[in-house]
Amino acid sequence: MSSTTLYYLILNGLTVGLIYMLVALGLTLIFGIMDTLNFAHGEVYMLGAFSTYYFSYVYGFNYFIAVLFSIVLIGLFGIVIDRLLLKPVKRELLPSAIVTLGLLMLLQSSALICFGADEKAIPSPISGIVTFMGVRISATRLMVSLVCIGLVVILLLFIKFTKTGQSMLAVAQDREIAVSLGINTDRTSSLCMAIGCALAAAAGSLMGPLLSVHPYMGMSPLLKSFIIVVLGGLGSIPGTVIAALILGFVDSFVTFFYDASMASILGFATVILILLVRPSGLMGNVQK
Amino acid sequence: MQKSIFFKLAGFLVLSLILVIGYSPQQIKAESNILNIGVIQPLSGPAAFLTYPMLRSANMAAEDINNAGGVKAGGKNYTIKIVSADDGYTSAGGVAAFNRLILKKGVKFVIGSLGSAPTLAAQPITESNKVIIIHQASSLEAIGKDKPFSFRMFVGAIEGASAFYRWIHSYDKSIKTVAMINPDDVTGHNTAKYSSKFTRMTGIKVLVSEFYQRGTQDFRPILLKMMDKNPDLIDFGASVDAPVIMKQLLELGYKGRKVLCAAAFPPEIMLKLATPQAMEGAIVGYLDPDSPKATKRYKDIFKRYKEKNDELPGPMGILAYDSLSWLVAAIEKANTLDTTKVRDTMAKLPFETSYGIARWKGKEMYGIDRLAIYPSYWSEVRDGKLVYIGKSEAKLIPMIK
Repeated sequence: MSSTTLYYLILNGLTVGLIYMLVALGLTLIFGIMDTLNFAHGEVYMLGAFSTYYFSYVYGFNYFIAVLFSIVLIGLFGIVIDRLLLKPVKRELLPSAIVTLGLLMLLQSSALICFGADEKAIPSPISGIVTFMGVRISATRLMVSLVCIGLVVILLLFIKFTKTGQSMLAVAQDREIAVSLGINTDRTSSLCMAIGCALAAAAGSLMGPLLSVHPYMGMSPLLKSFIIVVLGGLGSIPGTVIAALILGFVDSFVTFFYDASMASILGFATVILILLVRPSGLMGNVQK
Repeated sequence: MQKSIFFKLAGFLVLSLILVIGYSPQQIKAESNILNIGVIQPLSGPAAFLTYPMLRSANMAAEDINNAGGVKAGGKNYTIKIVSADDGYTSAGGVAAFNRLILKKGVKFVIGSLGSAPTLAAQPITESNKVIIIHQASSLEAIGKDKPFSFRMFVGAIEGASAFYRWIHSYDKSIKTVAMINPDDVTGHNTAKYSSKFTRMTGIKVLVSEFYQRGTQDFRPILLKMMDKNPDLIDFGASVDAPVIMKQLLELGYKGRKVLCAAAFPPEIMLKLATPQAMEGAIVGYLDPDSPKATKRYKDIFKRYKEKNDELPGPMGILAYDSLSWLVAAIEKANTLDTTKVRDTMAKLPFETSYGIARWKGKEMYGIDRLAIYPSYWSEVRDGKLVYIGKSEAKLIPMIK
C-alpha cells in the first residue's frame, strides 16, 4: 500500500466519521435529555435534504442560504414533533420509541407521495478537486467536512458555555434536581429536539450534493447513528464524537483491506465487544 | 335491542336494493367485455422510482390498445382495464398482491413483478392458477421448466453483460482487464459470477470483484481498492447506485473506461445525479430517443409518455409498454383468453419491440424459452450527451452450478 493510499484512507475515515457524527449527535442529544429513541431521525435527515433541494434547486436560493433555511425549518419541525407527539409520552422509553417508529413510516410514505419516488440531485455549490499530499478530494466534500467540524464545535461550545446548554446538561444528568433548580424541562426538551433535528437536517443538506436525494435516504444514516450512539454511550456527546470517528475509520480501512461486508460485521462486533467490557458504552452514563 | 336489529336489517335491505339496481344487466354485460390485466410491482419502497413509470406505461399501452378497438379474441372485443397492486418488494407482499388480483379480480395476465422475492413467492399461486406473468425479476429461479406460465422481459445485468462482452472488442480492443462492483445480494453475486464467465470467454481478465451493501453511501474505500489494480474497465454490474459511484470515481481521479450494462433508470437522470463530468466516457446499455438508431416505436412511446407524465419513461417504462403489447398480440393470435393456449402461442411469437425484434429464448440456460432477448444498444457519454456506439445481443450459456 502506497503512502498516498494510506492518506486517502485516513482522510476518508475522517470525512465519513464527521458526517456520522453530525447525525448521531442529534440522536444522542435527544436520548440523553428526553429519554427518547428517535427512530424518525433518519427521516429528519431526509427532510433536511429535500428542503435544501427545494430551496436551492427549485426556488433558486443560494445553496448556503438554502441549507440555513432547512436547518431552521426542520429545527422548528422538531419543536412541533416534541409538542404534538412526544410530550404525551415523555420519558417513557417504549411508548416514545413506538411513536417515533410510526413517525418514521408516516414521514417516509408522505415523502414518497409528496416528493415522488425518483432520485433528485442538489447541484454542488462549489466545483473542482483539491489535491493535498497526492490525495484528491472534491471541493464539495472538503466544504462538507469543514462545515461539519464547525457545527460540532459550535454545539460543544453552546453546551459548555451557555446557560441553556448547561440547563440541557443538567436535565440529562438528573431531571428531578434540574426541576428543583427551576429549569423548565419541557422547554429544554423542545429545544433539544429542535437542535437534534437541525443537526440531522444539516447533515442531510450537506450530503445532498454528494449523494442523491430520495425518500429512503435516511435509513442508512439512522442505522450507523444507532451503532455510534450505543458504542459511544447512550446520551454521551464526547462518546458519540469518538465512536463516530472509530466507525468512520473502521469503514474506511476494513473495506479497503477486506470488504464492505466485513467492515459492517466489524462495526457491530466492535459495539458488542465494547458493550461486554463497558455495558454503558465508551463514555456512557451507567445509570442510563 | 329489537329496534336496533330492525334498523340494521332495514339498512342491509336498502343497501342490497341499491346494489342490485346499480349493478344492472347492461353493466354486467359491459363488465364481461373487460379484460383485467394486473400490474404488480413494488410501488412503495426504494424501487418505486423504477416501477411507477411501468404502471404509467402499462396504462398508456392499454389506452392505445383500447382506442384501436380493444383486444380481439374468440369473436369478442375486450377493453383492457389495468388493475394494480403493490407487493412492497417482499415475499409476503407478493403473495398478498397476487392473491388479491387473481382470486378477487379474476386476473389471468400480470405484468410484474420487478422484485425477485415477491415473484418467487407468488409463482406457486400463478402457476397453479395458470396465470401468465411477464415479470422482470432477475433471480435465476424466476424462470424454469417447472414455471411454464412465467416469462421474463428484462435484459438485466447478466444478459447485458453477455451482450456487452461479446461486443466490446469490436469497439475497443485495448480493454484487457476489468474490475467489477456489485451489490452484496443474490442478484449482485449472480451478476458477478456470470460476468466473470463472459469476460473469460472474450479473453478479458477480472482483476477484482467487489461487493457493497445496499444503502452504502461512501464507496471510496472500495473504489480505491479497485483502482489500485489499475483496470482498463470498471463494470458497475447490477449497481443501481452507479451515479454516486461515478461521482466518487471522478473525485478519486479514475480515468479508465466504465460500463453500466443494464441501465434500470434513465441515463438522462443519471447525468443529473452524477454530473456530466463524472459520467464522461461511460458506456451505458441504453439508447437516446433522439438517436437516429432509435426505432419509430421507441421514439413515439418516449415522446408521448413524456408529454403525458412530464417525466421520462426510462427503460422499465418502455419494457412495460412492450410487455403488454406483446401479450395482447399473443392473445389475438391465439384468438382466446385461455391462458394455456396464449402461453404456447406467445412462447413462439416474435415481436417487434421498441428495441427491434424480440424472441423468447433461454432454453440453454433455464431449460425453457421464457426470457425475452432483444438487441442491447450501447451509448457513450460524450460532452454530457449520449452518443450511440454500437448494438449487440446476449448469448446465453448453461447455468453455472
